[in-house]
Amino acid sequence: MVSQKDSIQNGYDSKVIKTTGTTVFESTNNIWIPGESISTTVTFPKYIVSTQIISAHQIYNVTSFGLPVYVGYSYKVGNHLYFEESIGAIFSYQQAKQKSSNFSLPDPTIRTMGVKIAIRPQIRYQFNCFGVSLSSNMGYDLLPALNWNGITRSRYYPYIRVGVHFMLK
Amino acid sequence: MLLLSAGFDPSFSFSKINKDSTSILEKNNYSLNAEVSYFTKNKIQFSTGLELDVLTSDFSKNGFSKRQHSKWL
Repeated sequence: MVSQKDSIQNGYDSKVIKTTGTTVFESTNNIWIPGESISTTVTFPKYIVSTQIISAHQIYNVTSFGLPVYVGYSYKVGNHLYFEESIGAIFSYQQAKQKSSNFSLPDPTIRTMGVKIAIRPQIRYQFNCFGVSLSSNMGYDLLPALNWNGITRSRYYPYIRVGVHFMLK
Repeated sequence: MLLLSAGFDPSFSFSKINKDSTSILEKNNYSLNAEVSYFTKNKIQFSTGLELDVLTSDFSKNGFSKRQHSKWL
């Protein structure tokens, strides 16, 4: 005789396993049917619910041919050392080539004519005709090559530039 | 006075994460420039030239997907 207490064994067996980025939920029920001389085990389905992080990428190579126009001021800070501060704009022709695509992401519109504004502080060491320099080329892309609909595409860029110079007197 | 210049910008990466779980990672592969500068007597400098800029732009979107599988043991 199977008592009511014993009629259900392992009535609910559950566990939640959490791993990074994934949650798994499993349940297995084993029920003894009362009033039967032969025990019957009923097994419920095993459910697995998982959460996945999906990351979609769209990669473009952008090449710009630019015409920079700067105006600046030059300070002599040592025997051969100059500090120069320039501000200007770069007008460029831009080409964008798709490297990899994803169907779930919208294609960008490509602008062929671009404009950047830039500030360029520079330290130049000049010895006779020859010179070397280190500058920081900081700019803002007013008209970038790639534009995704509805996405603000403000682009700042802080480059470090090394230069060589030749002076004509 | 004229100053001829050539410059090189090494690789540099920067990224921007938007509110709608999209992000843009940009890598400046390299930049090259050649310029000529003219200095006036009062040290004002006017520069122009040519510039080549090559960069890689990676637009990505992160999202979540829930899946449910069931199987009989």
